[in-house]
Amino acid sequence: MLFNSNEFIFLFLPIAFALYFFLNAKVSILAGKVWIILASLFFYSWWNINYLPLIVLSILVNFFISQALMKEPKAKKSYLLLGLAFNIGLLGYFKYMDFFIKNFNWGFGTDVPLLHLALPLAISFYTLQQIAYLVDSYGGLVKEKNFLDYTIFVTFFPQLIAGPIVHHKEMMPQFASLENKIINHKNIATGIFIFSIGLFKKVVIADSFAKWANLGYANVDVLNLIEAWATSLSYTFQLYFDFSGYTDMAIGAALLFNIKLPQNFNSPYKATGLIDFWNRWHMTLTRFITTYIYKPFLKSLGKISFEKAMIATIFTMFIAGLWHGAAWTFVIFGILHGLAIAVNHYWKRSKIGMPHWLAWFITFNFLNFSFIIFRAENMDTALSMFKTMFAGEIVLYEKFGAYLGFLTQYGIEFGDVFQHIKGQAQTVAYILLAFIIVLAMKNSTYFKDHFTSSKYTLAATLIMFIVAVSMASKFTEFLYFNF
Amino acid sequence: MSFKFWNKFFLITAFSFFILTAAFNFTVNPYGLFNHHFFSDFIVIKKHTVSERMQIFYTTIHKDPQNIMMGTSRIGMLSPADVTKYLGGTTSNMAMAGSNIEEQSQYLLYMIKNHSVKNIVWSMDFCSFNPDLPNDGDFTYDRLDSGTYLNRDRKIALMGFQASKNSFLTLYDNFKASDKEKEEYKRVLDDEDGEFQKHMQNTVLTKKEIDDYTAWQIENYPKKFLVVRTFDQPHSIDPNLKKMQTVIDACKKKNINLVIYTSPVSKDFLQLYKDLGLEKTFKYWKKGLADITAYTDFCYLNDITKNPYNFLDATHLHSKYSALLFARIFNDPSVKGPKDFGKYINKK
Repeated sequence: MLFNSNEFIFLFLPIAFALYFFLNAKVSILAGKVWIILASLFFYSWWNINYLPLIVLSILVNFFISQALMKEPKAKKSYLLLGLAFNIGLLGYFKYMDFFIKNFNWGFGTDVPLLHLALPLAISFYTLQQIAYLVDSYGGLVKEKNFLDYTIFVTFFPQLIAGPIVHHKEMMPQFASLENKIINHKNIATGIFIFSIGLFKKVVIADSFAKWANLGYANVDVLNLIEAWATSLSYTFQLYFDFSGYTDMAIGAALLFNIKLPQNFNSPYKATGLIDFWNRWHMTLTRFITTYIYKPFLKSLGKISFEKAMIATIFTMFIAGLWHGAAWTFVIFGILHGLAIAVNHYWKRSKIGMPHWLAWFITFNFLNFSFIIFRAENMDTALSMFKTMFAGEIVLYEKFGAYLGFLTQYGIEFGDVFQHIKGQAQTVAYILLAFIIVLAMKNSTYFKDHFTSSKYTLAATLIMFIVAVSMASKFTEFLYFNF
Repeated sequence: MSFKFWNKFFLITAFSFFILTAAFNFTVNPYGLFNHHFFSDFIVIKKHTVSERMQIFYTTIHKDPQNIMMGTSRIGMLSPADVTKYLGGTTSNMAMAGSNIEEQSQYLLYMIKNHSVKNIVWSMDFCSFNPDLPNDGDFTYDRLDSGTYLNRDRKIALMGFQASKNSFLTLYDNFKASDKEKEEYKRVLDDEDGEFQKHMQNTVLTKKEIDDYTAWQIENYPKKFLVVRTFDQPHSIDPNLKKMQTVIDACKKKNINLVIYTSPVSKDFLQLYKDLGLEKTFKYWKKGLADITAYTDFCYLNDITKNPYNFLDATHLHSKYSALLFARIFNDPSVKGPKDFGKYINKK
């Protein structure tokens, strides 16, 4: 069930909300907790019920290993290794097995058949959250040990499918809090407001860019130079508005239940460096990989030095790239970002100044190029896109031919500029508007934190909600569901 | 204002808006999706559709016919009345222009599973077996399987801005139209009498027009319907033959009479197959069809296909031959025409 579908907005969410508070008020807190778990599992099973046993098994195994680990300090290392092996094994089997077999076949000239396993929805997200719980149990940092709270922490539907990647320390106390079991009108209003912003971002902005980006990547061999730039920028904006829109909807839906999810985006395209970018983009992933990959890995290298920290950074980003998907394009994306962060650190260390606008320009272009590798089906497609962006045929609007006809002698043509991506002047307007939104406007976290129940917020919310629901002619999936 | 008032105002306004919009679009029903007859004397003309496929599909399921005609626009030009003549009951022409076998199979399997179909007349087009022919833009593989697309159709027809705009335009058209225009529109729409095909039968094209249309098709079909990437390798059509087999099996299971024939195309088009290096695949296709079912073959050089002026272009047989084609399929000697038009083929 997608957040932008009618089933979710008009049926699932109101029913889940109403019954949750009814049970809390009239029956018991326990009944409310059981209800929210069942509702979340129903939400999860809506796509494919076959993967329900997998998530249930993952929850049971992880919870009982963490309990055993805390009860038996002598054997805790063995339990931790067992838990990690289970989680990494599960993720490795479902997500990376075919990738491994393909490369094995390529490397050794064998013909081992592929398994063609479908990726269980949300496995990358719920596995990370549970690894964090296990590792913290091992470190003695876990205080919350209630099974129901743990199950809600993993399955709570607003964050289940594509994050934010929540941490048990910030979530389980909220699920245990009695104060959160009472309807809070301020949270409901704020939740509706932020959900409507997310819905608008997804349906009106991201899905518009998706049309041009998808057509561009499908016709990469025939694009002209301007189309190639429009395609790459369309995807860069689609990715941000799609994922941050999803996150806003998740935060909004969770707020209805008095649960505060962590911030996941902080105007990432305002970043003036790659370090800055990763502190603003998918912030909960950055938090996870810093705590559970970067720090332990750096520690394992012995005495800390700048060079070792850079090696750890590149390694961590390599893992982050691979986490997004089992393909070399994701690996290259991760390593490139790791290298760029290292360069950023070296630059900072050198204390050479750079104008703010230039730092932004370099960062944004690096992101736009790296997202081409992230989006392309393979490196050939990505390279073809790069080539067209710099050496492609230049086509200008037919009308300009009357004044600029002399340019034809330099190989510039006049015609339908956006023919292959079915774009028009609207494409240029959307790209310009997107730049204005991401660079000049406050982000949704700011709006959420400064929300008041005024007639202006009411009108804005109504407009965004009605326009978005009315424009959703078909329900397109969120990009991060694939990762 | 208080947060409580804010919440109440939001919920009441938003839901009232959606309920009123849905009620309006449901009543006007611009896409004919809902099977009701509210204001059916007044709201007759419905020109503002979002998808031809959607309209054909819903018109057919609302009619719940006993006989279905399926294929591409080649059978789309032929009259359901000529099928009803032999099979009785009611007939719907469910032809999907430019469709491939995957798409046709999906629609047929849906109809077989969910409706009380007794006879299916399925026209086979060589182009539809092209593995490189993509599905139409408004078709998805899960459209009919999962039922999700049906829900999406309803949502599109009830709640979108586009539906509301089309409802208003539909109302405007009907306010403007005279009773006579509405009557005429109604008659053409009701293809049970083959009104559209009758109109086509009366269409007289000049030789130059036919030559121009033919030349256009010969030039443009290789860019889409006959694009050759793997199509020149005979076995490339095996998956499509398998899909066809699933429909045959489903018909057997439900005791549905399945009538299959190959659509005639003009000699120029048969020559195009050769020019594109598709001769081997073409032969393999006919043999493949015979291996899985008996059929009536019209797709070869005969007295009808040799004359390009028996067609509207290179591939669409003129509707005046509709009666002859079905007479040959159903062994009716009373309809006269060239003797070499139509051959019964089976595995032997």
